[in-house]
Amino acid sequence: MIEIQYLMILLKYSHEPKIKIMKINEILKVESRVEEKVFSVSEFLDFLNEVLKPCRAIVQGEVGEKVNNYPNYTFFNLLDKDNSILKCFAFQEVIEKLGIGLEAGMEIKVIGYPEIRKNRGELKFQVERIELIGEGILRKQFEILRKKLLALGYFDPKFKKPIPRFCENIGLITSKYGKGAKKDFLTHLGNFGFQIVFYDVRVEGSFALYEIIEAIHWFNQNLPQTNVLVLTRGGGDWESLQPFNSEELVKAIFSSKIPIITGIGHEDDETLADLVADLRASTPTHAAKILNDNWKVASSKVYEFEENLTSSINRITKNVKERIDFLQKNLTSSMKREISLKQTSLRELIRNLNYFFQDYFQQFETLEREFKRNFLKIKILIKNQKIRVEQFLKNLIKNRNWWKEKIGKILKQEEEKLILSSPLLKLKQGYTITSDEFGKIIKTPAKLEISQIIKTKFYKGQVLSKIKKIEK
Amino acid sequence: MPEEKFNFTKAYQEIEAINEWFQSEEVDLDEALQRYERGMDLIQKCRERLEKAENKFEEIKKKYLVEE
Repeated sequence: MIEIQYLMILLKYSHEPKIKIMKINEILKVESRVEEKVFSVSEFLDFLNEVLKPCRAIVQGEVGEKVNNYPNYTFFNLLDKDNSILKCFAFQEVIEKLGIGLEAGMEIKVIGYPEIRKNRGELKFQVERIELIGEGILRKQFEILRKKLLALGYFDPKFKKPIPRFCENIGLITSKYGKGAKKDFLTHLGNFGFQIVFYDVRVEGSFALYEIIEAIHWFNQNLPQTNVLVLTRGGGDWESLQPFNSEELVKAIFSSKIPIITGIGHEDDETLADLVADLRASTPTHAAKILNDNWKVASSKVYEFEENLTSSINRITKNVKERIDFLQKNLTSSMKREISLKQTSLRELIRNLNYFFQDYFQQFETLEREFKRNFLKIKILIKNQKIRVEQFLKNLIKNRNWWKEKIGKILKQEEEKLILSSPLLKLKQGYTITSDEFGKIIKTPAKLEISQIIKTKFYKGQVLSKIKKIEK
Repeated sequence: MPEEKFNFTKAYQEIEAINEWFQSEEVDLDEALQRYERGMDLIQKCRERLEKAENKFEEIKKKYLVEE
């Protein structure tokens, strides 16, 4: 039991299944070394399936009459001429990648591994990939896949990655055997300091496809700084180019971050890989030429540039030197000319300045004269004014007495008028003034009553009288 | 600042640009000298890179899916 477990672990991690199968057989034969173990049916089938799964194989045969297509999978039999039957099971995606439907009588190769279905106790071949046989049907398949992938945009130039101008790190994916694709490529690449990482793959047969896809993934994951991948193989018949005409490889090339150049077969053999590649070289030699062309040009150009630059700098410095000499010669005379020009303009300036000041002084003198003249005028005016005032005062004094006499006369006349109109004067002449007891002057007897006392004023003294009779 | 790793593509493109600049009619002497010096330095490096060119070849050890 311990040994079996050990064996199963070995199988799990082994990539060399054939060798391990041999070991199983060996161990099963040497029974004395194995502890007696009784399996349940299920355990035993699980054990067998563990052993069988790594036995990946390619089996060729003819598709049997019954092809049972279900939406997600298909059952079919693979037959031999001696009536041997291999029951096969394939998921729908395997059939879709084929491009054309499975039909009875088709000669095919299936790639996969055997498995015992526990519920039926039946051996089924788990198909991972189907390959068609015969150039006619392969060309038909090619055309179907080409149209399908074209419609999906895989060959669109806008998705193609540019190949760097000077590739230094090259990932080479090809076979170390074959018809010399690797040798052709390396021979024609030339020595330009390329860092070539070679990944050996099979380029023919049913497993080639997986190895090429694995190689592309490996470079993208482990050496992403690689400038370009060269996928190449020598010429061969149409059937041998099958790995390069599969949908899986087209998708792997399309999704590679590193640009890929293909150089597959001969110039006339255009595969689907060529169509999706970022650049197609017709042959491995052509691929090498594409990569070294720019280097070759650069190798000669770099000397050309050196000559150009040197002659340019010589020409420029020579020109500058000549200009300096020329300027040196011309400097003295041009300086003299400059100084003389400055002197002239300085003299001009002084002359203008003198003119200006002369004019200014003249103006000032005129002003001074004007001022003196006006001053005299004012003096005379003041003097005249003084005389006039004095005259006026003199007149005023002279007329004072005249005014005094005139006013005296007027006053006297008025006084006399007043004296003449005085009531005293009338009283003196014998007139009297009659008034009531309260002194109110009586001009008419209208309001007087009999026995009323009245007062009569004389020039000298007065009398009180009682009214006896009133005559109105 | 550590010196940048020499990149042939960049250096070559710069040389091309310098060469083109020198073809123009009016160039300034100071700039010309600077560019000349830079250009010659890059040319020297490119020449070294081209003259010492030795391809290096490495094979990746990988596993086969099925033994031959």
